[in-house]
Amino acid sequence: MFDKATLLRHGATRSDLRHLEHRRLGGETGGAGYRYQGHFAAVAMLRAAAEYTDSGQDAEITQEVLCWVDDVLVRTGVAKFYQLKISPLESWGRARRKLAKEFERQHRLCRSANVTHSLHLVTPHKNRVAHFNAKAPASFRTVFSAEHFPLQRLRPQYWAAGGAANTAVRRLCAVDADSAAERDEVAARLISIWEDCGTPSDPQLVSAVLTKAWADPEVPIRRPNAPTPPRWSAVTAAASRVPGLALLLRDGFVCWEFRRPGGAKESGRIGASDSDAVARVIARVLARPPSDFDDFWREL
Amino acid sequence: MSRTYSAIATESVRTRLDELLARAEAGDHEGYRAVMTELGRDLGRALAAQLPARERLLVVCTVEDADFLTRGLIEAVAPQVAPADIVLACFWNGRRKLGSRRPIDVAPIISRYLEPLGAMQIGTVVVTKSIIRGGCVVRTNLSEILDVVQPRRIVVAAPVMLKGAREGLSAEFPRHVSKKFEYLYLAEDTVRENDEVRPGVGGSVYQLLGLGDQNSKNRHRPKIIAERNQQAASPAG
Repeated sequence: MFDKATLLRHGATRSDLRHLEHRRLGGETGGAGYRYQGHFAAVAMLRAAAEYTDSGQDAEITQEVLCWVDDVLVRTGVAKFYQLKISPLESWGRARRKLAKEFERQHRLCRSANVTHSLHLVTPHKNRVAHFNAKAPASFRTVFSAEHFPLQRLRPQYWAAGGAANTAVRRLCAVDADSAAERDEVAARLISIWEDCGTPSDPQLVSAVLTKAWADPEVPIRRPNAPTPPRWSAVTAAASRVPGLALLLRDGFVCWEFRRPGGAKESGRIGASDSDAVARVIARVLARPPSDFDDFWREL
Repeated sequence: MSRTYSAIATESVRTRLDELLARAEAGDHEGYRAVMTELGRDLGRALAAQLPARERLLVVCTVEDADFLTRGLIEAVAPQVAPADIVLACFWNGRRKLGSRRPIDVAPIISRYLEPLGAMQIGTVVVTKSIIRGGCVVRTNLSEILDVVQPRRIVVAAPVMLKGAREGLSAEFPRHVSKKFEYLYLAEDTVRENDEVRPGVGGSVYQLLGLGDQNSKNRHRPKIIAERNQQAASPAG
């Protein structure tokens, strides 16, 4: 986002640059704060991925940006800068207004560099959100908001229950958003691709992450522009001759459900609508239409 | 052999665990299946002794464990729990390691079988697994089930556990869930080599049970599913 020359052009000194570089290295060395930041960035990526899937709006995510509010940057049309603070004692006035000064400098930098921006402070302490919003210095209050983000030990805990991460991952699931296993798998797939794309401080486009995820035919992730498989009506009709059996196309992913007369339910997934696995099952089912569920199972 | 036994592992149970290893060594699939079923009965008897009257039980298993370990456990709890009060959930899990920078293990559910949960509350969820190692499969299947039921107790039942696996699995869940966990096992091993527990259950359980590799075991249909549905459909069922 900002290189050293840009920072120098917009008011930073060489001493400032040394300080920012040092802070960036400090952030990459680990600790609870760094883990919290990694979780926040991962959830930000998942939220942006859900948005891209729904509306096509791309986002770029970077951690450890070279600037004053530097933990996570999410760029869409607006550059959203996030600073994360896990200490319950953090405040605007603490340590000679250190936090307030950093936000002021960030605001000045963005205005000077003509960057449309917003600034955000993220805390795991719900009761601190109102404080940070109410006491934000007037100089940047118009572009500021504080946010609550819970402190969890493990990443899957963010999308296990309610909350923004859960909502985002549900929006990304193709087959069954109510399935905890599917939410885990979809989130893990996207995060592993995202982490493999580069270091946290490399800017990553969410569209690039999703394109790689869509290329894996086994991941039950929503594929908004996926084609309907060839001979789809014929194959669903053939499957539906078995009482209780349905072959389903859900957001570009093919799955099946079977309800037994006694109430037991079976379900399963086959693959992305344009995958070899789906083409194979369609060919088999049409060649040997199943007369009962066991026949169908053999063709999977 | 760095193995310790739990309090419920009597002399005959210990002999059976040795027999399982001998069947594995001999490549005797039928013998291995029979001993695994017996070990399920051992776990089931211990579980039955702890169950209150009129308890509804949800038994959660993987496809490879359904016809052997799980069948044995269900048979052994049957005198204590009415057949209609036992609900079975079976999962066909894949296994994948995602990413290279910070690899993430996932055990996606490829297919599932779930009997009706009914209106009455499930008191105990029992997860059966032939060996608890990393806990990835158990965590996935349990998370899936705990999205739809809120039991009083969660029992993880396995003939063999790797030392430390209990703590690892409990840590994967929020405290209000993990405090319900109880571990029912027969032996605990401490050695893990090349992703295998030694002596564990003698190696890769799918192969030892004669179900082939991961892909072929996921094409397998356990007989217990057809049997239970036949029973449910019959007038007496």
